[in-house]
Amino acid sequence: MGRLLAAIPVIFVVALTVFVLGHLLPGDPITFIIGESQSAFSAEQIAAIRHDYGLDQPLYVQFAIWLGKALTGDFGRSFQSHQQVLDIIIPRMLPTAQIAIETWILATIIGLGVGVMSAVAPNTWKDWFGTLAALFGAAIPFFLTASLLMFIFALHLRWFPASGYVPIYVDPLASLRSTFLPSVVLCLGLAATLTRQTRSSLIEVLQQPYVTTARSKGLAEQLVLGRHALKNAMFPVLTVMGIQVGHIFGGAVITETIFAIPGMGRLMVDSVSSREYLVLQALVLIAGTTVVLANIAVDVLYGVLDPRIRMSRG
Amino acid sequence: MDSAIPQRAIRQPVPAVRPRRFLSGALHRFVARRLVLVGVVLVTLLVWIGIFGRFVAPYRPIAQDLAGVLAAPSARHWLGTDELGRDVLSRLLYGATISLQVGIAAVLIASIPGVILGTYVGYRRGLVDNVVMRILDGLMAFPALILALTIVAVLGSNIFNVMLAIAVTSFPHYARLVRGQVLAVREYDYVLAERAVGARDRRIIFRHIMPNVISPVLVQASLGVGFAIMAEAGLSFLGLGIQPPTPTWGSMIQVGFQYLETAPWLVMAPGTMIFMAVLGFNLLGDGLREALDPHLRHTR
Repeated sequence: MGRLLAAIPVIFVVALTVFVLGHLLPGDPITFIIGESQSAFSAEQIAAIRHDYGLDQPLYVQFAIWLGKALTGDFGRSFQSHQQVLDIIIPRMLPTAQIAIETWILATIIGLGVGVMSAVAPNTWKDWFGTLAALFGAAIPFFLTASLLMFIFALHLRWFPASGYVPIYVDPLASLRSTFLPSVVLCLGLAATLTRQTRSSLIEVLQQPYVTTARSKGLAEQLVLGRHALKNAMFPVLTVMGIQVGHIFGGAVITETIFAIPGMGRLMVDSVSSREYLVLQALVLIAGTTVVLANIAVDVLYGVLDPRIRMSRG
Repeated sequence: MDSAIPQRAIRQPVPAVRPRRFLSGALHRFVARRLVLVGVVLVTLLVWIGIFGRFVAPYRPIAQDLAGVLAAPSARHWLGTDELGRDVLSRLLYGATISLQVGIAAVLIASIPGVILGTYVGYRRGLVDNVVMRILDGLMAFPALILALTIVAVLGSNIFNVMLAIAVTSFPHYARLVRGQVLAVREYDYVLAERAVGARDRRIIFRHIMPNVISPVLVQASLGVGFAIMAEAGLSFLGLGIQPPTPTWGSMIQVGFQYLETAPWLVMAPGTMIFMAVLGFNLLGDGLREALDPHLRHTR
């Protein structure tokens, strides 16, 4: 509960930043509402439209109104299509969320797998492979992985489509194929961080007396790892996964552009070029808030998993 | 990238080296030093290319040759030509200057105010500290690339705004890092002793706090240059960075994706350069941390 309250000022700062940035965007929004042909409208008509959109109010009033509406999911109407902004965004959520989940799963499998492999055999070739893989994964840009994978697996072998998205409710298998390459591209950086974190925290945990005790009472190494060590090594790893939600969001902007996926990242880029600043505002606000909420979720999970924290809070 | 900056600048738990692994441990450290060396070489190479690349470039980066578009790598054009017949190698070499400029400038613009603000709030503590930290938390909640692209969209696409936008996304990380360090150092016994004998704040800050703050900042800065290079490429790729015809790695990649099937070098050449640059600065950062942090000196 305390954590939730502490997040309120952070979310407020997020909202304020988004609002200020949105209002600093170049161009008078009125021209996007009525088009370039302002001469067709009288000054009174323009003033009336300004009034309708609340553009004649002082900024802090506009902020209060905007924030109040945003909390209820009302981000205003698009200047161009006059649709509700939320109605524009909602259909874009599925591809981004699906890729994010697949990225998470892939990154967790790779990151934990390689990290554990490194940690249980420190200073061997396995450890070195893991360390090098993590170094490469952290440094490789999305463009390079995307172009390599697309060139080999989409354009030449034709195992996966090079672009586009099939919704999961239309054809699950085709949907997985259309999102596989973007997920692999996104997961590498995340897997690299997870590998490093798993390795260092597991190595530390394996030095603890209770692990020695478990070993000395004759427990099989797998049980020591699975039942005792990994559980405690997971905590720092969990934190990393919370932090990385932002990474997935940021990466979506690039990968959705490369793979022509109609998700939130692509919408964000389009809304910048078409000056749909209400859409951009809403998307940036959603991204920032999601990151804050994800970190709270990690904190709560910490409390659930760690009896020490559970007790002290109870 | 938190996203913004690799979290590695934060001190990791220190794994103790097992004595029975002494020999392989030594081998391990040796190879680790090798990796740092690779980082130093990559960064030196990049700096050299960034400064002198334009003088050794075989062609002018905007010289078009419409008779020889999308030519594969050959003796005449080592890395082929693009859709306007421009030499890819020459464009890469010129692009390095932009990447390096943005990388270094963004780190300076972010780190100097970051260090000052972090030191100030860490030393003052109290309400100011609390308010500033909440604001920084709010800024750090945004995925870096998303905040940067919004800032560039607001301010307009030019090299200075790109530097500024990337700096804004990484500035909170410096402030937070420094604040944490200051909070810890000001409670050290020798600092308390100094205060007890009546030392002024200025002396405590410059004699005791600064030296403890500088090394983590240097590590962060090295990782930060790599991050900034990656972010600049991302913005240029989205068409929000430095505008054509100025050759940048990101804009080369943007165009290159349209010709991926027939001319994959258009994306892979600049992609590899970014990879090498980021890898170099990451390795250098790891090496700096090891060299500067006495707690880690005897481990990897």
